[in-house]
Parts: sequence; C-alpha cells; structure tokens
Amino acid sequence: MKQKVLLFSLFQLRFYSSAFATEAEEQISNSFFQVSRIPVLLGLIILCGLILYCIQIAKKGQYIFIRKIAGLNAIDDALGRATEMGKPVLYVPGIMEISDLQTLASISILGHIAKKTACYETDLYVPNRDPLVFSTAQEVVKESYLAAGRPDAFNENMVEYLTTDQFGYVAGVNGYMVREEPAANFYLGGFYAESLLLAETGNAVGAIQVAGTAIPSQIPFFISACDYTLIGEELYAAGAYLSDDPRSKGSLKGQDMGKLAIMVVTILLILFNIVYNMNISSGNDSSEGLLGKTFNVLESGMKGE
Amino acid sequence: MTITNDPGIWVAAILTLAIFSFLIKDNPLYKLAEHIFVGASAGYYVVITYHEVLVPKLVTPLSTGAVKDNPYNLLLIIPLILGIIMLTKLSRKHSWMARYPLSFTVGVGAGLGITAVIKSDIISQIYGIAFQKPLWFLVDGKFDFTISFFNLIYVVSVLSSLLYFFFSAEHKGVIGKTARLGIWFLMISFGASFGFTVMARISLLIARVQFLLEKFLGIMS
Amino acid sequence: MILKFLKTLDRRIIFLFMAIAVILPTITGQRFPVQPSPMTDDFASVLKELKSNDTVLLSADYDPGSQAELQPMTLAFMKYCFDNNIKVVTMALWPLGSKLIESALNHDRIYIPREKAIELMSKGKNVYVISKKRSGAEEKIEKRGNKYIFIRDNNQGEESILNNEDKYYVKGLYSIYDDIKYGVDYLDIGYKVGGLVVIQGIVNDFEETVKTDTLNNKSVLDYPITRNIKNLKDFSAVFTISSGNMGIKEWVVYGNGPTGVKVLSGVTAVSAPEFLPYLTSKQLSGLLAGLAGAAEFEAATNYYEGEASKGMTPQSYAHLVIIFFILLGNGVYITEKYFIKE
Repeated sequence: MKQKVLLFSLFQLRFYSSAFATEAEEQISNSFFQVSRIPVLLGLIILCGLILYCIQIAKKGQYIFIRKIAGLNAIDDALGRATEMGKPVLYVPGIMEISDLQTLASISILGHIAKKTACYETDLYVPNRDPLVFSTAQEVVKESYLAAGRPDAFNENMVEYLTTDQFGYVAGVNGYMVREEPAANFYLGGFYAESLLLAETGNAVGAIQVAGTAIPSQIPFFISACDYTLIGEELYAAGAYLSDDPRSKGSLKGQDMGKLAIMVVTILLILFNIVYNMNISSGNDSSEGLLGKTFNVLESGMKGE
Repeated sequence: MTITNDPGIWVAAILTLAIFSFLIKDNPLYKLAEHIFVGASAGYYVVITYHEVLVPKLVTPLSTGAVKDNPYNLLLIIPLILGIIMLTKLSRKHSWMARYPLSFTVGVGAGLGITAVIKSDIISQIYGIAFQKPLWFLVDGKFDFTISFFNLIYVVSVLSSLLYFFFSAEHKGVIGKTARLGIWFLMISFGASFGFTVMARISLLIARVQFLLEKFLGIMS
Repeated sequence: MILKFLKTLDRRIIFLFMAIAVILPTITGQRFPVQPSPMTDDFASVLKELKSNDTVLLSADYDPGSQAELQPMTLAFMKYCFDNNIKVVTMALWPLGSKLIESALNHDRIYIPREKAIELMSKGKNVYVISKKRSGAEEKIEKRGNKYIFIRDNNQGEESILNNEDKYYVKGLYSIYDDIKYGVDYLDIGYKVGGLVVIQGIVNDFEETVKTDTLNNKSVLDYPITRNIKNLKDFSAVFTISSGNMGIKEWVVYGNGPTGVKVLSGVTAVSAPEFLPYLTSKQLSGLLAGLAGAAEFEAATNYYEGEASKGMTPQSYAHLVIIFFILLGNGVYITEKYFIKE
C-alpha cells in the first residue's frame, strides 16, 4: 500500500513537473523553480548534508573510524630502510599551491614522516616549489621535531625553497637525488609532467619510492616507477587518517557515506531495470503498466528532462 | 632536398633541435631553448591578457563615455580592487591579503560548479550505468547475452572500483575481495591510460620530425 | 654478459631506435590503411545527422603544445562542415586557440589532387607545389597562358608540368572555397576569457555574453549566421577541441548538463580515457582520441592527404619499437629471476 502511495506521488510529481517544464522552457530565465532539476537538488542536499553532518559529529569528539591505508605501511617500511642504510629521506610535496587539497593532505603526511625521521635520527630533505607551501612545510617539520622531543635535530636547511619554474624545480630535485642518493623518496601531492622525470631518477638511484596523487593522468607513471602508489582519493584519506583535524576526518567520512548512497541507488536502479527488461522480454507490454510508468519517471528524472 | 630560406622555419628548427639535444645530455643549448620558450609564452600571455581581458572587460567599460551610458559599469571597480589585492601575493608580509580575492574566486567557483558537477558527474553517471548499460539487454525485445555480459563487466568494475575508495570499513571478507577486484580494474585502466599517453607523446615527436624533414630540410616523402 | 649489457642498456640506444622508427617511414612515405574505430564511426554518424544550414559551435580549447594531435581534427571538421553547408561559429577558451583556428583557415597546408589544383588556379587562387623532380622545396604555381610557371622565393620562375606524383596544396581552408562567406557561413567570436562563466553565459544568452565578432568588432546580431542564435540550445552541436582544463569537461558539465546540447569533442590521447565515461552516459555524443582519432576521422570524411593519416605509419612503427623493448625488458627480468642461479 505504501509503495502504491509512493508511486502515485511520483506520478503526481512527474505530472506537475512536465507541466512546469513546458512553462519553464518558454520562460527559462523567469522561472524560480525548475522541477526537472529536483534530482540535482536531492543529490546536493544528501551529499552536502552527509558531509556537514559527519564534520559536526567529528567536531563533537565522536570517534570516526577510517581504515588504515596500506600505503601508510609502505611509508613506514621505506623510512625503516632509510634508517637502516643511514641514508637521507626525500619528501616532495608536489608542485601545486597551498590551497590545493592534495598539498594539504601531503602536508599532514609530511608531519607524520618528520616525526618518524626525528625519532630515528634520519636526515630529511623537503624541496619546495611554492613559497607558501615552503613556509608551511618548514613550520610543520619544525613542530614535528619538537613533538618528537628532538628539536635539536631540526635544522632550517631541511626544508628548502628551490624555484617556481616547473622544470627548474625538477632539475634541482633530480640533482639532489643523484648527489645524495636518498634511500626513501616520497612524492605526495599534485604532480604534472614532472612525475615521471622524478620517479625515474629516483628509481635509477635505487631508492624505495612511495608516491600519491589525485591527478589521474600521472597515476600510471607513478605506479610503473614507484614501489607503492596512493591512488587518487587514498592520498586525501591518508592525510585525514594522520591528521588531528576533525574536519578532515569528518568530511572523509561524509564522502564515504555519499559514496555508499550512490552505490545503493545505482544497485537499486540496476535491479529495477533488470526486472523491467525481463518483463518486456517475457512478452509483456509493460510500457503502460505501473512498472512502465515508474520506469519512465525514473529514467526521465535521472536524465533531467 | 632543399633547405628552406624562410627565417621563421629556421628559428623553429634550431629550437626544436636544441630541445632534442637533451636526449643525448643536459646542455646549455637545451636550457637556452627552454628559457626562450618559457619567456616567450609568458610574454605572449601578458599581451593577450591585456588586449583580450583588461582592455575590453575593464578599461573600456570604465572609460568616461561608457560610464555615462551605463553607470552600472562603475561596479567594475570592485573586481579591479580585488585584482589589485591579489597582487599582494608577491609580498611575503602582505600576502595574507590575497586570501580575500582568492576566497571570493573559490566561493564563486564552488557555487557555480557544485550543482553542475552533481548533475553531470553523479546523476548522469548513475543514469549511464543503470539505464545505458542494462544487465538484461534487449535486442528486438529479446535478451542478448553478449552485450549483457559486457554490461555486467562494466557495472561490476564501476561498483568494485568505487568500493576500493570506501574508507569506512576494513578491506576484509566480501568487501576486501570486491575491493581487490576493483584495484584490478583500476590497474587495467591505468595501463590503458599509460598506452594512450605513450601514443600522444609519439604523435608529438612525429609532428616535429615531419616539420624538420618536410618544411625545414625540404625532403619530400 | 649479454644479460648485463641489456640490463644496463643506455637509454640513448632506445632513443635511436625510436628516431629511426619515426624518420624512415616519414621519408619513404609508406602508408598503412586507416580504418575508423567504432568510436570514430559513432562520432562521424552524429556529424552526418546534421543537416544543411544547421549551425555548430567550434571551440578551440588548445594551444600549439597539442597542435600535432588536434589541428588535423580542426581542419577535417571545418572542411566537412563547409563541404556540407553546415555553418560554423568559432571561438576559443584558450588564448592561442583562436590563432590556431585562424591558421587553419588561412595558413595551414591543405593538400589537394592535381585536378583540384588546376581548377583552383583557373579561379585565380594561389596554389603551391612540392615537386619531387625539382627542388623538393615549396614553389608557387602561376598560370601564364597555357604554361605553368613554378616560382620559388619570388624569383623569375621556371616553366614546368603538373605531375601526378607532385604534391599540390593551398594555404588555409578558405582558399578551397569560393562560396564561403564570413558572417554567413562562418563567424569567429575569438578567445573568450572566463572559462565556465563564458559557457554558462552562452547557455543563458549568447548575444549578451559574446557581443561582437573579432574580425570587424561588430555585434553578432549584425551577422545572418548568429542573428537567430539566442542561447546554446540554438546550436545543433558543440565541437570542443580540447587539451586540458577549460575544454571538454566544462562543455559537458556546464553546456550539456543544463541544456542537453550535443557535445562532440576531440582530445589529446593522454586525456581520452578520463572522458570515456561521459560517452557511455551520452553526455558526450562523440569523441576523437589523439592522432589516431584524427586519422580515423580523416578517413571517415574522405579528407585528402591529411597530416594525421600520414602520421599513422611512423606511429605504428614507434609502437612496435616500444612493444619490442617492453618484451625485451621483461624477458631479461624473467630470465634473471628464474633461470640464472647465482
């Protein structure tokens, strides 16, 4: 009974929406409300609502579970090896600005790595392309050394500003790799054409390399030239996992809930479509029945018509 | 074979060869060509921005005549001020001020983008999977196994890849196995992507070689 | 010993192989047949659905960095439109895009068969030749009486005959046509700054966003081609030739999203995989990927002696070289791991 009521309201909505839509087409600029865009409104409310809700509960101090990213184990292994070999660790925070989310995630991972290098007394080198990223990275590394109880081990030259020129920066970092032969290289952040140039040189000097970026076109290069790669969103997740900021954890959780909602809706629609098509193939003309009408409402609703 | 007399082609050819010289070894000639490229493109963008943006969008509408015709043009002073504040990024001491125009741009960008992205990257994609790739595919009203099977692979790859990026549950049991399948699909797509990239880079090389052989050296195939 | 040599193979040897694979086929002029893939076929069929007098918007969202892959698409697309009386409005979201459109119309080499060359010369058009038997350099042909004079670098010129083996071309697509009129059959509204704001502007009000053309700086309402264009929906299709940000994605999200206008696109091969999902969901009506896509499109539209089709032979040989080295590298790895005992 409830289903029938629901379907009836859907038809009503469709009826009104088509009436409104014709009018809306005529005076597109004058209409306040376009019924055809209701799915977008629902999507916006659900996705943004979930993220805001999760941030709120994280802020209230509720525990937010995020699974450990496998890449973080790879980071620890690489640091361990550098310590065993007595060789330095190179950390490249990408070439994007500080406002880029990838750089922010990278900076929280840098904090984690700097704490470990401080504890293990391993040399760390962080070359930068952006002046603002440079000052932030310097601050974060300093704080990490302080937090690890080794402020004496920190020196200003650990974090350096090289140049804003993309390939000049690559030349500088590659030069460092060839001269110092670091045992562990980390490329975490936003990368473009320099990804392969850096990862290849690192590979040639025999370093263990862990990379991570959300730039789709660069991920294949890192995968082929590095030992472990954080793919796309894993970089943000790793940043949030290591971060103390409830907003990072909350928004990651909210996005997860959004993904879950998307998966559930997709599966339901797929199942519905199977039932509808099976009905047709079994010889029923279902276009006029309840099933057919529901199908039309859902299809045109998703299409935005 | 007749080498061209066109000075433009000569310059282009020498710069191309200078860039190619990097393949042997990093050298001053390569660096020179690289700097010429960076400098020339930066200069060109400044000129373009002046003629295509500053003049028609700001200077002309703010000229006395235009303001008289349309007093609302005076509102353009607001973006002008925001633009000037953006330049404080150059100073370390005052760079904090640049955050205001930056937050304005980010805010407007997010506002303009969010609904459009939800429509095209989420709703239309769900539509694509659920309605364009039906698992019970019909050809002339009859079930078609082959297409349905490929659609099944498509749907499984999308859902399993999405599950790989689900961070709120441990990758154990069914979730773990599905996510593992997802990473296989992702790796295949990265392989394809790598192949496409290699193809693109070779295409660029071919165009340069065609230029050097045909337009510079006058070698006709 | 051999294994050690292969393991430490100087990368310059690979570069050398690659250079040979690209240079030799270019010199010999060997051609492999190009067959349109289903993706290109779909693209061409969308194009064939367009009717005479339809208007399309061509957005050149690329720069010379990706000219090698994308310029052949621009040429083939515009030529198809002009041949079939489809009207084209050109614009660019990248500053240099509009220059590349201008280059396609006025400067790029458009190869033509000998008969076409004769026909165009009789109409007083400038026709150029690269003659195998003569210098191999560019010469302009002038018809004086019944004689054809080949002129190089403004010299006196020499009389010659028009061989079938020689290559004839005009400079710019514009030179092939007599009846293509600016403002009627095509219009350039130039580089538009603002990316997605421009697209959203055109979605709502074309005239208000665009205002004037670039050539004469006159209102778009003064031209027959755009007089009846009120917003993006009035275009039969949008073709974005895109090599990055502000391009295909923005046209799909902000153009197709709210209006449902058909968006076709040509992209560099690097970015093609990223946009395939839009093709599945029909947000994108057709996609050409990289030089191969351009070559297939040339084949599908019978474009004469296209640059992309010419590039397919060296491309194939270069791919063979890469496959060879991948197999070699893996062979060395497997041999060392499983067959060599320390």
